Amino acid sequence: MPQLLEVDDLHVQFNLRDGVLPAVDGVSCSVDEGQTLGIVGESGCGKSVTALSILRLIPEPPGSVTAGSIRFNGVDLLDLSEIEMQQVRGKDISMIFQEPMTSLNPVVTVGRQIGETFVLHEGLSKTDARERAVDMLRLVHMPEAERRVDEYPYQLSGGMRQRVMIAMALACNPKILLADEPTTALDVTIQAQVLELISELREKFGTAVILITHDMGIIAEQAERVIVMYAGKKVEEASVNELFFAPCHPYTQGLLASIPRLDSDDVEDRAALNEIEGIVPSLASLGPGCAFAPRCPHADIDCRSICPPLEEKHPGHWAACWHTDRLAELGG
Amino acid sequence: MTVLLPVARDNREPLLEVNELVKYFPIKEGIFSRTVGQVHAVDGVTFSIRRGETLGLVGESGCGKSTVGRTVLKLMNPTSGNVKLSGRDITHLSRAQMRPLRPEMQLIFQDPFSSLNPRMTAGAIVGEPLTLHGARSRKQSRERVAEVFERVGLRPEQVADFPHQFSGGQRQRIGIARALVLGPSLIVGDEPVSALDVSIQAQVINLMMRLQDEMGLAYLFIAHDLAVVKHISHRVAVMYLGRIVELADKPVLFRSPLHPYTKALLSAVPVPNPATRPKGRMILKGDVPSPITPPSGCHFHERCPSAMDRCRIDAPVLFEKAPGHWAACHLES
Repeated sequence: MPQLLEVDDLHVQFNLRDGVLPAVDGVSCSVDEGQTLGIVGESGCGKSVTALSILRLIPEPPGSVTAGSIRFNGVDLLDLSEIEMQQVRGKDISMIFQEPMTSLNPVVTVGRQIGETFVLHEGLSKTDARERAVDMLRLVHMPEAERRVDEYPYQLSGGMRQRVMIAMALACNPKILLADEPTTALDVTIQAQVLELISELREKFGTAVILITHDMGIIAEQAERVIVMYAGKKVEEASVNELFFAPCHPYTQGLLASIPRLDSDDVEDRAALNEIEGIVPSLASLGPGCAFAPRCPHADIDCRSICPPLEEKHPGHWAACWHTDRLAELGG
Repeated sequence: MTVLLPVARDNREPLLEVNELVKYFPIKEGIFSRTVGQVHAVDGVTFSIRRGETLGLVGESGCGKSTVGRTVLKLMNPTSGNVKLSGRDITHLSRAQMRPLRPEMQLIFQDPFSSLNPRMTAGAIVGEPLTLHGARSRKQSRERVAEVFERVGLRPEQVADFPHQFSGGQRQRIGIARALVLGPSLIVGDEPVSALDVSIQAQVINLMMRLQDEMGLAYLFIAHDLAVVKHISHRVAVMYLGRIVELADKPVLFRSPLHPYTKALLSAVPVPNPATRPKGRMILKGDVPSPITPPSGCHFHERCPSAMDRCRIDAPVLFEKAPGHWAACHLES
């Protein structure tokens, strides 16, 4: 049965003066109602570009989607005209950005920014839109919503601005919410509030959530399925439990082992953390083999010459590595 | 009344002692720059650091942790209180008097992109403190730079490269090399790993811990990431709105926190283990109040789930609940 959103073999590249950057290279993913799909990876791995492509927000030029399809309810979003796409954005699929400071218009009250969605998609008058904006602010637990609705972004704290962003994103009750590092700019106690809000809304309205983050803790708490990206490619996909307890790809294994843990018992122990040697590669100078090979402790000549395909290693657990079997024997 | 202070309990002499440190920033308005209010950035902070020890200083944005770091280094002068380095009071030293002491205490910045001069080579950046602080010959200074480069894991030929040729993690190594070059005994790290990717963060944390073992450095490690602080520190101080609310040895603080704020902070961190999805997480209401008009009494009382009447009036002092475990909470006194 087709899922609500199916991204298939997406290729996005940026044509720059120095060459072509394959920012997203053959990524597929899908998400269904009420589910949360997590996308993890480090800076420059293509996770944000994937999200922006779904909403067709990649600046063209220099960017372009060169292959693949993005089917939402059976319709390929890549075939829509810009005007048709505007009907999708904010109504069916909406997005929360990382920076609540820079993604809001500083000279427009938050009420009008939220209300804009109602005016555009539901044809409400400005007065009605303001009323609905107040409702939305109440929904996201904004203190004193009635007063805050007429305030400007600078008058709000970071956590409140992120609530405004969420209120905007949820205004038309979208089917899909793309959250790109929604809490990275926030303090932990505020992050806890925002994450709780997102999962509460998902349960209430059955919204599908695509949660992009570099924080494995957030993934562990929020996601059902997880995609790990490295240098523009999907290197592993599994259910959250499989991914954390039986990761197949050496990059995922390295990533999990390199996080300092708050939940470990050996607090006295200041043992060295596991390191992933080397640095994140530049997309401009990827070799023919596996992009992770230069940093991988298990890499051999095959890895450096031929890029491993994404294969289903166990039911529902995909990884792109030549040595999954050997790694499993090593107990990794 | 003499208040006992949370200083080191063993015989080793503390390297750094900070006593009742206060730093207010005036808010000026109008054409005569009249002072109309004050930001209470640091409001009476006391702690000490021994040689070779890491004190983690955690708290959320605006709690004053960076200001503590900068005041300790005398990059700004405190409003009141004092700072002692190796037993010597440095609070009122002039810039000239501070100069010979500067090699003792150095700073590592958060942002490896803006804290390095893009027009200087890595070698020149790391060597600059030597030029400023000693009459070393070029040759000696080159040798010293090469030595620290090796220590922080940079290749010797990279001295000639410019910052843009390095990755984020390598730039942070340059920042660390610059801090090390004068042979300091104390390094203040202001969020030194929070701008780095997870896999790179581990490299820099390991490097800092290795350097500490090799060179006997003391760190004041300022960060908001509790898991990182838990990993690197020996003792941890938790700050809220300009005050230390709890200070203890790391295992004690993480196993049995006393202050409700510490508890809330620990419970708010998402744990990278899907088997332990939290049930009944302690979620704090509201935001951190403004440091311009901090709440009366205990600064935390407006958000505290166990606040009593007394908390609204009376500011709790740091109290030694168990040996070496200090908390500022009326519930514990």
